[in-house]
Amino acid sequence: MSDILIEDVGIEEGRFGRVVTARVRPNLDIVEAIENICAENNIAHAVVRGCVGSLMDANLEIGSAEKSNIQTIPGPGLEIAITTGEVRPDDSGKPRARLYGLVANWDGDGWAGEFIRGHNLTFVTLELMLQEWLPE
Amino acid sequence: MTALPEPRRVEHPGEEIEPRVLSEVSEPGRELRLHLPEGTDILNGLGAVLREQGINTAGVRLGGGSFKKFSYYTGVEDPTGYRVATFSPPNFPPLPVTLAIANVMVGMDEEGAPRSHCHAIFLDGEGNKLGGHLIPGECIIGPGGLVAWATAGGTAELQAHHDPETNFPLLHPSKAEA
Repeated sequence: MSDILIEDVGIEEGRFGRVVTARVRPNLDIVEAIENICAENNIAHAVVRGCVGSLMDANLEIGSAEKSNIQTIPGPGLEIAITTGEVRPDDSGKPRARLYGLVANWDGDGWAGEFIRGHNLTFVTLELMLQEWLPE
Repeated sequence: MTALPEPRRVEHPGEEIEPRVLSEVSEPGRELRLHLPEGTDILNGLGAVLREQGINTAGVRLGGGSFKKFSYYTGVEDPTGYRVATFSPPNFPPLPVTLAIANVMVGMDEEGAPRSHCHAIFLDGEGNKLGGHLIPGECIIGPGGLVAWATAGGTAELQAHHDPETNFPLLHPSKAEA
């Protein structure tokens, strides 16, 4: 079965705007930090263009909306990258980030998933490039 | 979803420095698709080609491609206590290594030379899934080359300097000198 529900596809056209280059210091949640960077710079929509850093411990959500699991990866000092991430306004207009990426521990084991808000604190640093998205 | 415990915090050797987030905003910079050929060192190659293009700072996405030489670091405890962690000796997985996905932040070292910081998930030559910090000068692209997409920082730059909170030389954003 390969029904393509064209009418259900959400399409948004736009263009890219300003670029934000940032560093997040230790002990901040990466989801909230990215939302705050957007709020402070009056950016409603954004995408992650590059992001490398480390976490104390990692908590990822893995699975579907109906059946998701939390994957806790104990640190300290987990290497991460945010490989896909976007920021969009919530119902009240505040920026809300959803960030997906990779995690590696000191044994070289690797994981991937969505970073759970409030449960992924920076360890040494997070280097980041965000770009504003301007829907038309 | 099950409730998670309060997250653990790290305690670094130095005092906390404010502000906790540093950011630099720029009008859009250049966007480049780069095809890096076989034999190129991925991280030194990225830094060199971007510098040749006049770009000092970029966020880079890449995935796919293979490596015929490859080495990576993980973290380990710092026995001296100077830092909360340090890098392991280089790890040498069985070749060829296939890149699953990676991100690179390209900036400058303390002397202004290109510096690329890359974390990746990859498969070793026996199919094991691994992750870590790729070592500049030690990861040579294999047959077919490798494609990377780079977004330049515009008038913002990242440059490494000593961070007295963590005792690491870390990339910090600033406005590029005109």
